[in-house]
Amino acid sequence: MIPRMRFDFWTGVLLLALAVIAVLLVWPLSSIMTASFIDNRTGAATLGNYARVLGQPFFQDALINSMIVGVGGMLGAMALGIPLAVLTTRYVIRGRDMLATLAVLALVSPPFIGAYAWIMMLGRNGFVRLPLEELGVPVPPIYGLFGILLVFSLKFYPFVFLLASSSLRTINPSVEEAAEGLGAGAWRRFFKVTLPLVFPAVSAGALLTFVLSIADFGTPAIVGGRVRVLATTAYNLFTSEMTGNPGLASATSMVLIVVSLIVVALQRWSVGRRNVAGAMVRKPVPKYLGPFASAAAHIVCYGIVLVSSLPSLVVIYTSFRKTRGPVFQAGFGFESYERILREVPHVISNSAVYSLVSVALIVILGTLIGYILARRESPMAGALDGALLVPYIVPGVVLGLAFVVTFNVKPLELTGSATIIVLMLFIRRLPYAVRSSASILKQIKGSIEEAAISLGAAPGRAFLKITLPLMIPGVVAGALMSFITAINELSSSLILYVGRTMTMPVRIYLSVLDGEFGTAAALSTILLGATGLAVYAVFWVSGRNESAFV
Amino acid sequence: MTKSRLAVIAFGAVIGAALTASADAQQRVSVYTAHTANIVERLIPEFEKATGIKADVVKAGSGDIINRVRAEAANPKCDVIWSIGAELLEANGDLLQAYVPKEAAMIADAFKPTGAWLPYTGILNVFVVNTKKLKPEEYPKTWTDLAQPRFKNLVSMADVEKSGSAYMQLNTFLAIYGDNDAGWAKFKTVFTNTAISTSSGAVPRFVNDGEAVVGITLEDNAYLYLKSGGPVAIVYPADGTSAIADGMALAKGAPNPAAGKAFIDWSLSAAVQDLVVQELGRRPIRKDAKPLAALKPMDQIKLVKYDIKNAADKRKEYIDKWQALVQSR
Repeated sequence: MIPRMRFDFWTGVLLLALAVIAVLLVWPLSSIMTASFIDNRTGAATLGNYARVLGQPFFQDALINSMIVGVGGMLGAMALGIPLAVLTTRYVIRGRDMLATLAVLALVSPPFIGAYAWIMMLGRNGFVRLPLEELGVPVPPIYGLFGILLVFSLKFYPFVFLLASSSLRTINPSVEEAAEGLGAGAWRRFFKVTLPLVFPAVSAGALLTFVLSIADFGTPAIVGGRVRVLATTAYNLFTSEMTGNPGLASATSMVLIVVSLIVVALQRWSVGRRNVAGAMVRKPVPKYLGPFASAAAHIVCYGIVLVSSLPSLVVIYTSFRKTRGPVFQAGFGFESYERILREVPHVISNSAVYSLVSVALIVILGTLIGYILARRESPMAGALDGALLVPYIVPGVVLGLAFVVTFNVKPLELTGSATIIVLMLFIRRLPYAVRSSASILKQIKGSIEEAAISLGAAPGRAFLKITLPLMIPGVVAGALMSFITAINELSSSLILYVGRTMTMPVRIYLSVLDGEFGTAAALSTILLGATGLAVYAVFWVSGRNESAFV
Repeated sequence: MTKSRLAVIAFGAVIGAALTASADAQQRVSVYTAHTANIVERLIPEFEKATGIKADVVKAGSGDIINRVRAEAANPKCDVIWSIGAELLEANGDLLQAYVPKEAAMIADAFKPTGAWLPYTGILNVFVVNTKKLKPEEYPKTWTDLAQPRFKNLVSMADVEKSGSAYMQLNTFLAIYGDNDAGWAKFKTVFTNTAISTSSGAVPRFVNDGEAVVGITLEDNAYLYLKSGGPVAIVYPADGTSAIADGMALAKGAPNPAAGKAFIDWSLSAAVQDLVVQELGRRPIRKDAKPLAALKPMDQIKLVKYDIKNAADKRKEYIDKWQALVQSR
């Protein structure tokens, strides 16, 4: 039989998805790649940009610093996340749900808010530093690597915690009991049996924290001091390049992409080698600890979670302090909120509108693409799946630069518009929705839909009437997650905004740079409130499933 | 999950989407400025009220603004460059178009325009000190006092490459101590004590909060904290400082030239100039303006001659030397 190309609804969706990927990912990234090979002055093809950035001591420092914050952020997140996961899944810890909720809140709140909250706490005159120093506790300066690593560890540990705990909860306890029966001590058992079993989950979490750490722009920009990383270097090069072609910034961006790619490849390779299947026979039951061990375990768990929640508390407290101009006075007041509502109300509505519009687009296309990936395997769908990995790897600063380079001239002149920001949020978060919708579909039997088709319904109609209603809870959870990340997006918006399209994170960043901590805190509190509501809604629709957040 | 829950969420999403900004056919002007956000937000509504024109403001450091205007030169987006370092406007005259404002005759003689750019306000470089950390007799008196070991890492200054005022401060120092190896060597002794901040507006914040003890900043930035009751005082360097105009200009190829001109005329109007002097602490450039009583009178401040042309011509050389300093530590 000759294979026939059958054009139906799903072929149309597939073509649309490929077109979107081509315009919003392939084109911008190839533009920035091209820009990295063009001489800024002459416009001729050159390797000079790479020679210049790779040869500069400040660039080499940035590369080394990026590796340090990547590895350091990853190790810090593991050092906090793994003990928390082990203790809360293996032993009875009171208030476990509350701890998990607080960890999720720490995870979804924007890192640059944490960065300046830590300045208020541990800066040279910080209200936590001064009492500590009086007690004789040495505190390293917050500006620099210490500050960056502190913020990253406390920000990203929930990834490791959530992935490791869901994995720990699916380990068949008989495996560990067998090891015990064969005479292995507790530590040996943990390192030889338990750890290899959770390795894929932990390494996935660790990889994620590494990639997020080297991609993060706000934290090193605010607490980095003299420490520059690749993301801040690319941004600085971009804002100071004198010509129309940001060759140096583009070359720096390419290096950043390559580093991320290598890490992702390494993680896949190592997980592939140690694929351990755990058959679900019975769930491990949390054990009771003796009084002293239990007290110690509670202190560790609550300590980690409370310290990671501190920045949010400081920000909320600061937002209600009485201010006169930029100077804080004794007592409380609403001046910071009044100023925001009087001076920059559009910033709040911009953030709301851009995130909602992009989430609407994400949900529509993401759900459809997820369906194709789960149900309609083809070489083209495979290509689509591969292309959708790209936004995971490309940092916001880089994609922002790529958008500017691509969309500031005809045929698609979008710089300065709200559209370009919405499209950026859309493409950055689309893969998350695709993944969640594909994974829900794997739990829904295809036979119901096939029955509808064999009864005469068109494929599009069969999907809308049968499968979609079954998918809705998962889709809503995915949409809320996209909303949380979209409303907190800083790095790409900072490159793409103009005054009229300024968003809350951009305004917070600019306020922090100007030393306007009161208004920054008030806007951050609004942002935290919106994020918290969305988190609550996710729990509401997904029935308290924290792993929805990773 | 129940249908009613879904309905609630769907309803919420619809309400949110209904907030979508309405398209408007209003007259617009695009303004690029180095003003701090609080000044932008104080003044722009006044402009919109006075003229009915909607202003789109891009806020960045002076250096970044010029870079952005240059990058967009083939397809200009900016109408007015507002409140940035005069030497940058002087050095980048090819990006500007000359405009004679309606009230050109009211500009004081000391600030008469020399190129395509116009003076906007008078600015003055000062030290801002934390009064809780330093007693009056401990205040630094001169630029070279900042090099004293007791101020190690406690002097806040903005990045010369990014901030127009920090570039002015460097030039002021060199105007006093010589634009030669000896002058730079002296500057290095001060530089060693500094913590570089991201923007000039943040310098008095660090001093106010005790993160730094002394800051090098513009008088009006310091005045904002002083008038709000912060623990800060202004010190005018005894070995001299510079008072120059910060500038504004109509960009070449401005997409909305009429609105741009209206913005410039508004900026020079008596009412706006009175506001920037009395409320924001800038120095007046109009013949008919009253100085702010709370600030030291100009005739009691030692001033050095500030050569805008030289500062413009030497920019590349100075920035290279500055970068070398930054990278050397």
